[in-house]
Amino acid sequence: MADGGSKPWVHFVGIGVGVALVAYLVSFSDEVRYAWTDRDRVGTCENRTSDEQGGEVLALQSILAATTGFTPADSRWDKGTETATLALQGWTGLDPNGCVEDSTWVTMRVLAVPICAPGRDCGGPDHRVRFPGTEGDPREAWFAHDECDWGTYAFPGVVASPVSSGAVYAFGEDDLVALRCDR
Amino acid sequence: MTSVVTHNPRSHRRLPRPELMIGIGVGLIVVLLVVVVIMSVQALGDDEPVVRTDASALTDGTCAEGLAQPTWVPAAVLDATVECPDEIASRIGYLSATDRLGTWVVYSLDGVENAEALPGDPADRWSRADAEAGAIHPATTIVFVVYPGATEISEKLRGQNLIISDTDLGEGRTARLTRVDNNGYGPVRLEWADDDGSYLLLSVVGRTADGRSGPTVEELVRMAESVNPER
Repeated sequence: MADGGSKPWVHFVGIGVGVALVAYLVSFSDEVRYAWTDRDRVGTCENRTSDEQGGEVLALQSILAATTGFTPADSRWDKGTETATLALQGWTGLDPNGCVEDSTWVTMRVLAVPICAPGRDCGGPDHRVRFPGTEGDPREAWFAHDECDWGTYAFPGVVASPVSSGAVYAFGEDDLVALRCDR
Repeated sequence: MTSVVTHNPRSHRRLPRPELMIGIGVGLIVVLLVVVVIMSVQALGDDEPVVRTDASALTDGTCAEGLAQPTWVPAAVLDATVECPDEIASRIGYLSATDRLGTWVVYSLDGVENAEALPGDPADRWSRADAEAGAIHPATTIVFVVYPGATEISEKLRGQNLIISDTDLGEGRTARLTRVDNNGYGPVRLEWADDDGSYLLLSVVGRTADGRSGPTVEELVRMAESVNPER
């Protein structure tokens, strides 16, 4: 005959497991949201037609501007963006497919170097991709790693409408959204 | 009458103890072995001296002079461009705390494979075949950033095509080595910190139409090993 009496420790274990599970899910979702990687697949991935414009396209176009001299970074995926993506993939050893998926995002991320000393806040865009330019000035892309998300600093001379020079745009999936964090 | 002196107590000399002789012999052998080993190591190292020249001279007269930096660089390094914190902040105008910015030393590399190969045309006119073959690429550099006074290194990166490991730099220093595993090519980062600051080395092992570009991972590690905090 089963013991109908309750065992208090069973309840405590159950509560503990539940709390741990919720905490894990919350922290995992934050990690995905804030990370550079775990982004959408952008471009000619399996002939996708979505993700043709927005903050993520601006981010990868900014990297392409620094590495291959691609212009303009206007947040719209087009043939030039695809060819420049192929060039970056070819040079960095990726299988060239014109698709900015995880491995291409990761490759781009490694190129972004902290401007500010790790662990400190310098009050502005804090990561930079830098390559030599042809006329003395470097070619570069700047990014902000704010507490809410990654953002692309629209570098003057590289960006074009509808992107505004000097603004910081979130890595959004669709439209361009200026980076604002509710802390 | 002659006398034969068979024993003169005053001329008696005591022979050294055998243990002492053995000790002296062993000592001499040990010293000889040490000398032979040192000479052999030096002879083997003649082909590849630890430091051919002090590469830190490349930054003399700049804001990086006096900062910890590599004293060894690969033979392909031509020169170094230094970017000071104020200069970097002025690139975008509104960084508020320049005292927390790093100083960048960017080494350029010799060789046609490391030179910029970009068409002047807009990207939509580039040859797709050239792009896929790695024939369109920027100049390869080695970037060294020093953050004086910092004690941390940047967050560990994540991704399926990353290989992250620790590598020993000697003198109790350990660097995080981050490699992007793209068919044997891709960006390589080394990051470490010591009592004086935090450091980052970055370059790209590139795939080009004719082979590869950039330094080897071993060369980057050797650069990191040569960073001398006692300048």
